[in-house]
Amino acid sequence: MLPLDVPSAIFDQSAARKDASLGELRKALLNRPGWALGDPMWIQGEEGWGTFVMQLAAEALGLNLGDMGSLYVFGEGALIQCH
Amino acid sequence: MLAPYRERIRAILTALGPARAHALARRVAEKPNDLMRAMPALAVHFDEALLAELLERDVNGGLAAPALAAVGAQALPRLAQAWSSAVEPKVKSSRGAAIVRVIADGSGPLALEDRQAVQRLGVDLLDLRDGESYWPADQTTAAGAVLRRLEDEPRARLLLEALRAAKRPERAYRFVGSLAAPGRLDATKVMLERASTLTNDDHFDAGVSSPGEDAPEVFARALPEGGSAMLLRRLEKALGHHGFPRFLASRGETKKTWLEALRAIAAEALGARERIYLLEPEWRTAGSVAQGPSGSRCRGGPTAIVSATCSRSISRRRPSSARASRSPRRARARSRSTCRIHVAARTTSWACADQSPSRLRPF
Repeated sequence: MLPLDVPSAIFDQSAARKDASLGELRKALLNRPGWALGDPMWIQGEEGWGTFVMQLAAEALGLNLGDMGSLYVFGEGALIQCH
Repeated sequence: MLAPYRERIRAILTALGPARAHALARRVAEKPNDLMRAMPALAVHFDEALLAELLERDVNGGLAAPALAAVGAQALPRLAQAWSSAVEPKVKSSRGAAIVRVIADGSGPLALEDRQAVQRLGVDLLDLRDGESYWPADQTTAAGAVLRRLEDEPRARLLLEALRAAKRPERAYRFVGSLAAPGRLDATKVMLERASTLTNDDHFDAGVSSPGEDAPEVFARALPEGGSAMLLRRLEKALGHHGFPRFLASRGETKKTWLEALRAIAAEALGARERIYLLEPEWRTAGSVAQGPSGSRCRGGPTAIVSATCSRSISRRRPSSARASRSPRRARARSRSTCRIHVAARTTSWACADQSPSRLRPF
């Protein structure tokens, strides 16, 4: 587990589209196996419930999450989104 | 065996002679949307007055570039004149696209008057000034073909002008490979001065790889030290696994680890910050992992992938049943807590100081 201080705006897709450095950081983070805390980066629309805990890519789990999918873990459950 | 359709039409129009072909052209192009049907007759029996008449009637710029391009280089002076006098952006764009297409379809060095026309119209003609990041492939190819038909000096001047002044300099940088070695270095320096304008499109990447084998050294000379983390990341992507280490070696540097590079990008991005924790496989985090307390693994599960304790402000959201108020900003409340996260192959659980330990559903 590696601590990383990031601007909160990277979790806001529209803000990241407007700012190249935020967009680059967001892309770099999405290419990692996952992160805990912060906020989710949704592949599809926003969903989920309760407190966001972590977002994981298939690489971290060894599970089939669909086409470049992510697992979103919340306080009260988990869900998957993919492309 | 019949000749191809276009050849048969050309033969028929040739046989008709100029007067009858032009009369036919006027007849088939009576309606505004049919103007392009006159172009084959103009291609066979060019008449500048008829072309001028058709261009004047095309008030909406509907005459497509490929149709006008079929008339050939003989149409260029009149098209350049129409481009200069056009006021409506759509008409101007249409005439510009036709000029580019005519020149791109030709070969060999440009005639003197065509070269003068291209240089006069400059970066606007090539769509290099105000374009968005998306640039249709046929327009990109045509702009490249036009630049190739210019001589070295006017080509370098045109590209440098676009690199200095254009909204998206990477569009011009895409063609840096068409310049001689000194011009490439100058163009690369100008591009790097404007690197903050770079977007995520691939024109820059295409330009980086276009000088060929010596691209890493060209960039090292243009950027002997420094460069933002974001720019270095773009260069790493564009120069590739072999080129980027050569670029760094030319600067007397070694490659940063993925974590150093990521932290450098994160440090450059502006705005209020919060701490997250990257979840990485153990082999990738050797030497830098934050140690978790012993006994924090999921009971009964297989070996934990991640297990650590962290302390921070956590975000809370209302249950999704309140869909109407799902806006994260409204639904979020912040509280400081110590939270413990366990991720295992089959189960994930987390616990917070102000909540009883919660085990997530298996996934």
